[in-house]
Amino acid sequence: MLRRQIPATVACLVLAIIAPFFSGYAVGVLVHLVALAIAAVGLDLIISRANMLSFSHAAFMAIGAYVSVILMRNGWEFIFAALVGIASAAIAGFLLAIPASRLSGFSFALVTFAFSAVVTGLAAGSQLISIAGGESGLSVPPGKLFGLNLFNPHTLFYMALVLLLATMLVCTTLIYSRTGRAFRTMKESEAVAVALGVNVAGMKIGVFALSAGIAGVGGVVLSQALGAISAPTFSLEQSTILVAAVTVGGLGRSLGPLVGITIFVLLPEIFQGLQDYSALVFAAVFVVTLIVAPNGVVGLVTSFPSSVRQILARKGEGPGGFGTQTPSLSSDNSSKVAS
Amino acid sequence: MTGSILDVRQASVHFGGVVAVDEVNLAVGAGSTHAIIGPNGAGKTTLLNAISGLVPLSGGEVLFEGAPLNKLRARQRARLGVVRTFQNPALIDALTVRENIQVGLYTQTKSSSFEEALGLPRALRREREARARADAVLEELRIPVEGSTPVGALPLGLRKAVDIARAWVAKPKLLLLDEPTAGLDESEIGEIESALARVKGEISVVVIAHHLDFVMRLADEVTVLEFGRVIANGPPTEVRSDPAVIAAYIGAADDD
Ligand SMILES: Nc1ncnc2c1ncn2[C@@H]1O[C@H](COP(=O)(O)OP(=O)(O)OP(=O)(O)O)[C@@H](O)[C@H]1O
Ligand SMILES: [Mg+2]
Repeated sequence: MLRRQIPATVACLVLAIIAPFFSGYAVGVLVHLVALAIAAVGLDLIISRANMLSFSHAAFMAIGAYVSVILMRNGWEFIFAALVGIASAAIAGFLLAIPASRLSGFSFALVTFAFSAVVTGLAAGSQLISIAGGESGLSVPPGKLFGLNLFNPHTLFYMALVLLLATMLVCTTLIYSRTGRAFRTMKESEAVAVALGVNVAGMKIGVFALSAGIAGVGGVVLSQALGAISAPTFSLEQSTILVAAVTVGGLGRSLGPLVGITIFVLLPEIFQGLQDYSALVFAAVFVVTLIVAPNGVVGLVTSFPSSVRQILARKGEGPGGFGTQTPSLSSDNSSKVAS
Repeated sequence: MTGSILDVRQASVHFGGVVAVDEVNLAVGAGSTHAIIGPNGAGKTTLLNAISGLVPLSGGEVLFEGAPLNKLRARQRARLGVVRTFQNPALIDALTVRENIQVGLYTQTKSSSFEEALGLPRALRREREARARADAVLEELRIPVEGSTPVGALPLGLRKAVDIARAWVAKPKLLLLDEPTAGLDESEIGEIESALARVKGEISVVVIAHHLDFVMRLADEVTVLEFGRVIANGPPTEVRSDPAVIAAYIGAADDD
């Protein structure tokens, strides 16, 4: 099972090795990328394994970022401010999921949509202007971790990379554990999970809270990378881009979130002249991927060798027993049930 | 009959205007295998859903070991030992046969999600035990498949067998099977049948089936449903020769 972790670990190692050769600015972009990738790993967990769609992950990043920054501005040590920020994001996810876990997939997604709007509204609004800084946001005090200065982009980058790896490791371990199998069965059919003794609502709340907490980690890292935070960074659009990125990267693939985020961070850099049309470019990339590569870019690449093999096999003589039919069952028992 | 493990009394289930289950009485003797047969739409699955708690009763009650189940949620009933399979087995295709069977151990394994996510020693130890249990059940039910086979690659017959193993590993006192033989060929039915014959007598089983020979060989008692009502009940040979049953069922649907 940890075998599945190898491609992503190798990718992180490559990043770690080349990073020292990058300028401070370029490493800053990399930290940005890794921060979003951390949140994307959390998002992928709920979408691909628990069938819950969230348009509020940038909002959970905001909670992690704002809470940690506000505490640091009040003199807290970075490590404690960060931990409370992450916990706040997880608790927000927990509270949101309590009522939302009773809803079907579409209504659930709508609730997260609304939540995202509420969070950015509060962050930018006048009600909390004295603590959250309103439209102009907050400057981020330089963080220190074990005596290391996180305003050094390279130091921050290595911390971010360690957090990304740790996040992926925890998610993979969970997915192949007893709890992971329970929520993956729930994804196939809630009725089956319930009938095997799984508390489906509780499971959804727990997984969603974990996922929100992971987004909070990404938010803390991002705030350190940016040096200043404001509401637009964590907008509904950013949440939507996260959903698009994990989908384009490949849902349920270990490299998927990182690849997807890389594509969506690099796109604006490539199409700099088209700034006003960036939403259009994002949408186009999203739609084209869904059509060309329904399993995402990673899915396309990993299935490439086998599709070549299939084409070759079709030309020559097919290997015996290769085409064993897999029954595809429409599960009529996956309907919503009272748990 | 020496005490029944399951007593369904005057159970009704209404879906809006549709009466899917209509004042059904059913007593399952401890250790016996009880078949439910009847044409499509007769209410068999709905009756099973009501017993396992997936749909609420509109009237009547269900007693398990003499105690009413009505107020218990489905997952609480599962923890009491009422475990079921489904007409369409929902398995996790990306996982192996063994891992899918391990899902059935969910309620019996004592480790927290936290320990599992961090891969702490106790969780790893429980995981090893669970793997061994799953393999033992494959052996016990003589399911001819390797534990390490991905479920996505299995034909329907083996998927149904894995579904039964997943329920069996949960150590049910009462096992509810919804059409374990539907869509299978004779040899696959034979495999399911021998697996069930092996556990027969150890626990109580309620099995829905269309395949009459299967029912006749396996069941101690048969209940026939039509339009939500019980039209016959008794030992297999008796039920088979009941004119009402022949009219309603055997003439129409003994082919799958
Ligand atoms: N969730 C539901 N909502 C509304 N009607 C339902 C629901 N579930 C079942 N029914 C109806 O109840 C009746 C009994 O259905 P049920 O699935 O219990 O039959 P069955 O005997 O299992 O049939 P089959 O042999 O086709 O599996 C049918 O008329 C069906 O349409
Ligand atoms: Mg049915």
